[in-house]
Amino acid sequence: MEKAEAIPARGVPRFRALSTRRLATASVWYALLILIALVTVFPFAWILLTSIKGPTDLLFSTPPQLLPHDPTFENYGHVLDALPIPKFFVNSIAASSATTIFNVLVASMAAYPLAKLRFRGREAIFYLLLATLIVPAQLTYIPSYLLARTFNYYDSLPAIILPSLASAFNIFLMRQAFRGVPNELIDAARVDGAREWRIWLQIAMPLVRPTLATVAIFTFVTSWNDFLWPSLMLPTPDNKTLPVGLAALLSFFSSDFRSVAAGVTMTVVPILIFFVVLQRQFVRGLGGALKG
Amino acid sequence: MTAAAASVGRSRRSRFKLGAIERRNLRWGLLFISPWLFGFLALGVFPILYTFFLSLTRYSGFREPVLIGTANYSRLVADPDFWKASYNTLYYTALAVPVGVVVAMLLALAMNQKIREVSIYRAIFYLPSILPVFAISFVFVVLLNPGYGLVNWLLQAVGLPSPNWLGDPAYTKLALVMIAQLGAGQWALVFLAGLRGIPIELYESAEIDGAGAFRKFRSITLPLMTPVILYDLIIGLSFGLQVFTSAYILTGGGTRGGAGPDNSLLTYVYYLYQQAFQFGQMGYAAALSVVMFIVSIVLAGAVFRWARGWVFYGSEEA
Repeated sequence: MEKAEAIPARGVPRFRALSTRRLATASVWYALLILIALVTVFPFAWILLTSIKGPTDLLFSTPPQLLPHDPTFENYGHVLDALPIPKFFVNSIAASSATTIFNVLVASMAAYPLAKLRFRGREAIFYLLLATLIVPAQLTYIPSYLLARTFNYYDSLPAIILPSLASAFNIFLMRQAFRGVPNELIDAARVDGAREWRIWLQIAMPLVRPTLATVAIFTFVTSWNDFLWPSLMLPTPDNKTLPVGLAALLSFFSSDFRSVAAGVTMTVVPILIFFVVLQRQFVRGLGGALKG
Repeated sequence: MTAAAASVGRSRRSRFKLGAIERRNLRWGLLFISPWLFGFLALGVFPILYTFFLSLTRYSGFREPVLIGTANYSRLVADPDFWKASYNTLYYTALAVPVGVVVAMLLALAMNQKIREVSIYRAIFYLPSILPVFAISFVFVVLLNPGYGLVNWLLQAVGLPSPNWLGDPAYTKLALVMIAQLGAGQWALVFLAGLRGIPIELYESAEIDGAGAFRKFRSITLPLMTPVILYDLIIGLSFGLQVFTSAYILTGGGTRGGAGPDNSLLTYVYYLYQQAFQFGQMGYAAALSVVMFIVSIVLAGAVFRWARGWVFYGSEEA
């Protein structure tokens, strides 16, 4: 101790004091992280556990009983018997996949000239795109519904795929990515006589693959979770998507909370798997969204 | 060579006659943009213009719309449910957006600590924001039950009052705000990317000057994060005004009739949905959406204007 003070550097004791203080603040942050993580995870863990509780397990008690003594998958059976879950699932996969493919294609096509080709009117188109971000989707609901009825795609998947054909946000992300493609590469290809669509497909697209992945993932999840519009457009039970179809649990099982929990678990698990598989792309995508 | 051609293209003469390069770019550009442009005109611009037209008509969704001038708008001014829905939505937005910014900032600061398992926390915090809102709302219906819900059990355990979250109109909107916070993880990651972008030298020199943690946050972190905060405010505002799913599920998806105690969960989009798709009042609903459009633009403009006073763009790269 005394020796340490004897060392001439005046900053040393202060530095040590600072590091114990740092330790204290670090543990406060640690506690906060764990607390928030618990609060975040708990509801979902609880729903999962509730969904496998047997008829003799208590649902609501003080203090709450968490673990089932009599675990069962019967509740899932109830839901599968009452609702055409496999159909919902297929509908959701089909609608989300189609929406994703269209978005990736249309957004990457529209974004390329906005980033790499100079022509008059380009800025005007860009500002038009910007403006669409502030317009609430509800402004288009009634005419979109009328269009779907007029052209006979009401109550079928195109009714939810078409209006979300290309989001302006995706075009922004792609434009940002294309701007990072070196002009030298594009000019060299032009000198070699490559046509613009080949430059786009064979030079630019491979270089923006990470952003393509981001756009695809976010579009898929957004489309999968969409609720209001699909519930308006798909009245027939067999045509519904998973979230909209499972919302029927509210009336079917309003007294059977074990089955409701099983249904909620069924909507959450696919997204959970999707996330675990593609975790890195999700997180990187958000960092990129900031720059866009 | 390209540069030379481009400069010719930009010369005065080209105002009437496009240069070869520009003509070529224009042709390809429009070709590339056309799929989006076509979709945008058919499924964006046309519906919006048609909504403006419908707002001046009486229309049930069947037969022909009948022009009635501005009658829908005068009806709206006198409609207590319109005012109730507007009040509910603005109340919710005014609460949810600032709370969301604070929660996201707090989460981001916590994740920015030098902790090894930070990627696990990042995944945990982020996950709820990609889960379906309807599923989260379901969970909250039970968590917030005044009789057996866990939230009230915890509140009682620490000696706090346990409100009737979904039955008392004073608390229903707080429940909506709580549900919205499960989406905070997404913003926290955006904030985290912002925090990581702040040059470490700024903090080091502040420490040499003897600045404490709070001072560093106040004078370095906060000003440099203002562009991200503005971004959150604008997007949050637009999402807040469109709140629907959570309110819809909390009220039992319309199965219990009405929109919560004292219509306290009747959000603007909920009301619009009822008028258009339950009551067949398409003309009136169109007027409601036009008003929503105008209010959204005015509010976003106001936030931008207000932000001019506090957003710091000093460190922005080109």
